[in-house]
Amino acid sequence: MQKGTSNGSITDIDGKFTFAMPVGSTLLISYVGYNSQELVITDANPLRILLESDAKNLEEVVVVGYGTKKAGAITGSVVQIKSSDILKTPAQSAIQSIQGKAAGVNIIATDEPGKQPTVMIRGINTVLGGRSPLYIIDGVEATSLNGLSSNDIETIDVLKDASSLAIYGNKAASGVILVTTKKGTKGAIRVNYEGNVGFKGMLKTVDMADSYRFAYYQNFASGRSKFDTNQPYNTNWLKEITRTGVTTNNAISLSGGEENVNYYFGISRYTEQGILKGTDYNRTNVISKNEYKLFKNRLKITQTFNLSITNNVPKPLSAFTAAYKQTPIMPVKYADGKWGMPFLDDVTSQIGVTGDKFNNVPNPVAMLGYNDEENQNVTLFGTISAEYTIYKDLKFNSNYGATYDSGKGYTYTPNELNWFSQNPTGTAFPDKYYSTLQQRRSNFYVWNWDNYFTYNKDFGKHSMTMVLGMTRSTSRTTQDLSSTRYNVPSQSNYWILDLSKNDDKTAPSTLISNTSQTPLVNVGYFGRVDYNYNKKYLLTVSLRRDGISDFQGSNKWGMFPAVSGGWVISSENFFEPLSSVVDYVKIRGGYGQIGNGNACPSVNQVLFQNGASYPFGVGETIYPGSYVPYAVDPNLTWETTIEFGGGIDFRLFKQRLSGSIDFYTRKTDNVILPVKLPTVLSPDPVFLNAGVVQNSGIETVVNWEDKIGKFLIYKMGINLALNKNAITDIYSGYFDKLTGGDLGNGQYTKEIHKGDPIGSFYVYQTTGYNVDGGFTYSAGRVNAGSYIPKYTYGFNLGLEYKHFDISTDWYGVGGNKVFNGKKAQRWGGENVELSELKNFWIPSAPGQNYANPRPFSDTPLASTYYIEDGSFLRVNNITIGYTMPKIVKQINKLRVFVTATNPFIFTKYSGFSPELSGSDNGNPLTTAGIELDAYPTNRTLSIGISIGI
Amino acid sequence: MKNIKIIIILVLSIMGFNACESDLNVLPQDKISKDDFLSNPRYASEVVNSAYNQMLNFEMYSFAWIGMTSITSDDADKGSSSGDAGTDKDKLDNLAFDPTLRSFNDIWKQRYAGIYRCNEGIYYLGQVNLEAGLKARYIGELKFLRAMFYFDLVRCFGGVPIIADKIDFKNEELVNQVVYTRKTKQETYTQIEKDLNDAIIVLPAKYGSTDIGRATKGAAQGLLSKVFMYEEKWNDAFTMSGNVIDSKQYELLPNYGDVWREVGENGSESLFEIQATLGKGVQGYTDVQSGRGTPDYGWGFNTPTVNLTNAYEPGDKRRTATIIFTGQVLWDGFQTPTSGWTNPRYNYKAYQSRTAETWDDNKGETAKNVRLLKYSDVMLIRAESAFQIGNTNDALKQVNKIRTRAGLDTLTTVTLNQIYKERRLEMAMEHERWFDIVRTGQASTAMSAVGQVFIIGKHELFPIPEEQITLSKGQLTQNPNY
Repeated sequence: MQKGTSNGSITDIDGKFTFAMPVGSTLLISYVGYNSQELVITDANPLRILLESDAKNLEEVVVVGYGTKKAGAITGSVVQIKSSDILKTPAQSAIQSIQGKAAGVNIIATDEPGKQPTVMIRGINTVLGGRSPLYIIDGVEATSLNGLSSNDIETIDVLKDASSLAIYGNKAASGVILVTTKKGTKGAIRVNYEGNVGFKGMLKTVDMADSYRFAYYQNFASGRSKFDTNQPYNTNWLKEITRTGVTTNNAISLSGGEENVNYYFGISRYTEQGILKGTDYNRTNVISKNEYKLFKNRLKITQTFNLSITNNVPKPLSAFTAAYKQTPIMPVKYADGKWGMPFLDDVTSQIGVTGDKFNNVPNPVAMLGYNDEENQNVTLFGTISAEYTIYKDLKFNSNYGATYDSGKGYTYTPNELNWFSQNPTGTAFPDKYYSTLQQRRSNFYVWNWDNYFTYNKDFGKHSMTMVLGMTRSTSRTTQDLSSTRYNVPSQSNYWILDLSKNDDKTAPSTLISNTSQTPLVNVGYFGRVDYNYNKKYLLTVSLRRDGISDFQGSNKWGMFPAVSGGWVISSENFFEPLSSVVDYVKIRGGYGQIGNGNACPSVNQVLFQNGASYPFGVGETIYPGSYVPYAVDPNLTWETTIEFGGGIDFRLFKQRLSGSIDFYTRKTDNVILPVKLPTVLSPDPVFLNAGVVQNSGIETVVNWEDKIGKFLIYKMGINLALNKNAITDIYSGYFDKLTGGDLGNGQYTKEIHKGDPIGSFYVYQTTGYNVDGGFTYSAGRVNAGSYIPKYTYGFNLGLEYKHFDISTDWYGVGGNKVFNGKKAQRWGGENVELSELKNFWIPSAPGQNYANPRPFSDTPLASTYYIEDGSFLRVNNITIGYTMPKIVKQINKLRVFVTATNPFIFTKYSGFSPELSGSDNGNPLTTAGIELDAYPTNRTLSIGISIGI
Repeated sequence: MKNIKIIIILVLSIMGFNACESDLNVLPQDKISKDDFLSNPRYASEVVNSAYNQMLNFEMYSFAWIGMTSITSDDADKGSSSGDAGTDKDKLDNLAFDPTLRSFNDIWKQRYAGIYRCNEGIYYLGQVNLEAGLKARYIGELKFLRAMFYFDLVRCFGGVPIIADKIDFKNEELVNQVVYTRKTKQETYTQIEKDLNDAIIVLPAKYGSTDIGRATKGAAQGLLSKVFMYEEKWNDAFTMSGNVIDSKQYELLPNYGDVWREVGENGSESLFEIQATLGKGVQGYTDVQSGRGTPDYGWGFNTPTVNLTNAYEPGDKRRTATIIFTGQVLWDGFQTPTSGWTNPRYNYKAYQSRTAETWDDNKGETAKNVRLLKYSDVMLIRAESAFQIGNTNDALKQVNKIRTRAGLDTLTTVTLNQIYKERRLEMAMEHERWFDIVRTGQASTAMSAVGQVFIIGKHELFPIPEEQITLSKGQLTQNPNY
């Protein structure tokens, strides 16, 4: 095209084009995958223009352990995600935004305000702790991206394979996510503003029985007309507790730089009023990053400082379960304004203000109203790092990073109001304490200090980089203080707590508690050599000697080697004939050993647990008591993962098609398991190195990028990751089984067994119906599949046409199961789903193949009836943007956009959401994969603007 | 290049110094380390207290125990509402025992967890430098508790594995031999007797005001007399119960109703009870057994049967001190609802007054002490053993004292059945009835009177919990006919 105009042309399939333009003007030639070229037209002769291949992608800088590498020199498996891809899906956490964009990085998202998603890289290696990847933000070790605004992130690099991870020793077993924040670049001050507002609703709801059907079902279950089928109320509880959520996000940044200094300053605020009534979350972030160059560029000092302030008013997620289970015949409030209760009037058989309490479910609306809790957190993190060029190619880096977090919170429980909400006919509160106030304070300070030399030398076609250094870190320093007081009158907030008076409750354990964790200290020595010959043959070798304070004696230390190599086969002479089609092919392979020292804290020393106190004496004074809660194996040590992996990177068709295929097999030995012994040997489980976990998988990524006509640029990509996980061996003679997934009604759903994937559901198989229409079950529990997907996949598409851009990301998982916990957690008298009333067993025709058993009103066994296929394909976002033509000189860029987040889902699952990260940070033995007290996935529509000056 | 080497060496040594490997020796901050523990004799009392603390556990003397010792018997029904099975209490009520019931496993697990605390306590006390008399007393207390836990086990399950030392779980051979091998009933009783005899020697008859609630000599003697009664060692039971009576430490309270009220806690009739106060109570004991419905006082389990209600003679004051009836004014003035509660009767002995006793709104953990051994029990052991050895005069004397306090006429002659009946009414809802009807061979008749079938040769013992058999890899043998 002619520079400075909109005149242009495109080539035919042979690459020829004709185009009229005046002599002296500049011709601009561009082609996807090649460097653009400008040419001044001097005459009308045909021109033969050769475009140079754009090797930019290979020259891009990728962050690796204790250093950076050019993408072309990578021999392991590393994915980089850029700012634009992160910002495309507005989410409260940057890590959630990259779901479906990095093969092998399985992200189980959550929409609960303030909650972090679960991240699993290349499957799950361990049953206990240390499941989450290590986050390193500009050199600061962190356990999550909590506290960092998505707007301030430049790149996220994910190290997936053991050969890249081994240099992190014990910290790396679940992968490392390296986050680089934005920095200023040379030039005048630039101002960027990003703002959006979003409206949230539930992506999927469940149809419940109405009053008539509830009564019908319960009457059928009890075999008598217990409930009148014509009830005065018909409450939709889910509607009563939810609303349209609203989020806002505003971010402004200033950046720029001069010869020896550059700066980036960002401030942002995110607010969310969640779909659950009363929830309120907001976060303010301030970040400042400066880089100084001294002594003729020999010393570079970088300083980052990030402050994050969050304020969270949560409401109990059990309200969702209560709304699901509470009967529609009960009103939110009776006509006299008192809270509804599930009382059955035995005269009218209708809902009453007194009578038999026919279920144990609280009034969901009262529950929200009387839950008065607020939490505030201030998180500060910062780094100071120096890079000193000692002599030509030898550099020394010293990097100190620390995070300080201070949290406070209160929970106010109005006992008197709660009592009246449960006793609608009550006249006087009978108890002593009309309110209870609990306050909490917590803080932690963690730090790491890394020192290393980097020596970089090119001689001829040989190139070598060596890294040698050490690191020291302290983590797990959390302290918690909580205190309780009674009979505090209701106030607008409860930050004041004076324990000095008006407290006749003397039990010390309930009044104040201050607990502390035992810090975890780590010392590591590491080295790495990268060598390449002519950018064609690549070799990386690394070694780390790592020590950790949680183990005893010689078990503290471990050695973690790694080696990997690459061969850029497309640079070989014999590859020449293919070069018209194939631009670049690299084959790589590696081996590495990584450790997990975080499986469980300090469990191999004899420790006396306090709290086993007991009252003695005339006044029944409580005296302290201590005991050893579990037996100890002094030889306990690391979980060690050994991985072999390899892959191929390729670029074809003039850089239009690019992609990679990776495969790996990793074996984790010495997996620590809590082994249950007879209580007389150890009341609590004993931690033993007792198992082997195997993960193997394939990751495929294919991207296509091209242009149609003059103006339409499009990009698309698909990725697919398969992972097979199993506990291949359990070699402790004492290990029997480990159970999990407790439903809180005496039923559990998960077991850990040799030969099965982690996260497997173990429930009774329904085998038919007995003469009463109840289920018959298998004699024992059967493996009903794992909640962890066997495969995950993503698809993304981006189009740019003139000033418009359209993009969409799709994400799907398969081969996973979900346990419908809210449906299974019954005691009796709860509401049922509409679908449970369809095609159920009837006595008159008992033999048929019914979908549902006869209506029942007692606690069901955890069975395959509640196991559902958890596969889903979801449109994660659709964004349409419009970039304004340049109207005002001062404004460089102005883009408006509309994004629909999670607009559609395709799934067979009948509940609210098949994506269930569960409690305790994705612990496979709690509610992960079980829909119980879970926050439903949201559907969000947001509009936003982005301005650059 | 030389300079570089120097710089490298210098910097590395600084780094090495800073990252001293001794940093890896981190002292525990979340719990007390063994070294700290053993170096301070003040901690010695803590291991002993922890064994007492075990009794407060929900799975120890609360729901499961109530189910197995009371709901099973002809004194009580499951209660609660028809839809609420209380995990397995419906099955216990109907004598549908099977090894998978959670209650059995709870009782087994927690008794052995208590035995673990006793064994560990004795082991670590052996290493602490402590005044000899105090150390002996502490060990005596632990042996008393251990004997009591084994006594509960032997009454429930028959002969059980006996572990009376700290055992290294890694010694598989020893574990198989000791932990996974059931001893005979007789061997189990021998262990219990040994512990109690040891305890009797070292335990004091009385404690100072700050230590009330700890095991006394009288408690150990009283428990031993009961053990002898179960073994039908009538002479020993007669002598041992006599030791308690002759010690003159104990007497009946004038008012039977006071025994289970706060005024009677650690009173003259009390030999041993689980101490409870606000913040540290017997978890769920009151809650499980209190009125269900409106007002919501509890879960409403373990309701007295009509059979028990009718067992009292007219004028027996124990009837209205044992059973809460609906529409009644209780001792503290509380008016029980005429309708609104799901069951017509509840266990009065589990009642904790919200107005006239220590109360803090936490009905899950009240200040109600659970009486495990009381003087009237010992008197009835004396009466029964006296009768069995032909000393009917002594038997009559004890029974009449009990009857007099209950507001009944004295008897002139006494039969064994009259002693049994007196025992039933005096100890009603106190976790004795099931064991008593099994022990005395009345179970079949008694249970058929409440419409239940007691299978002789099976129901005398509860099944060994399936989980425990699995843990032992099948080495623990099941009781007959399960």
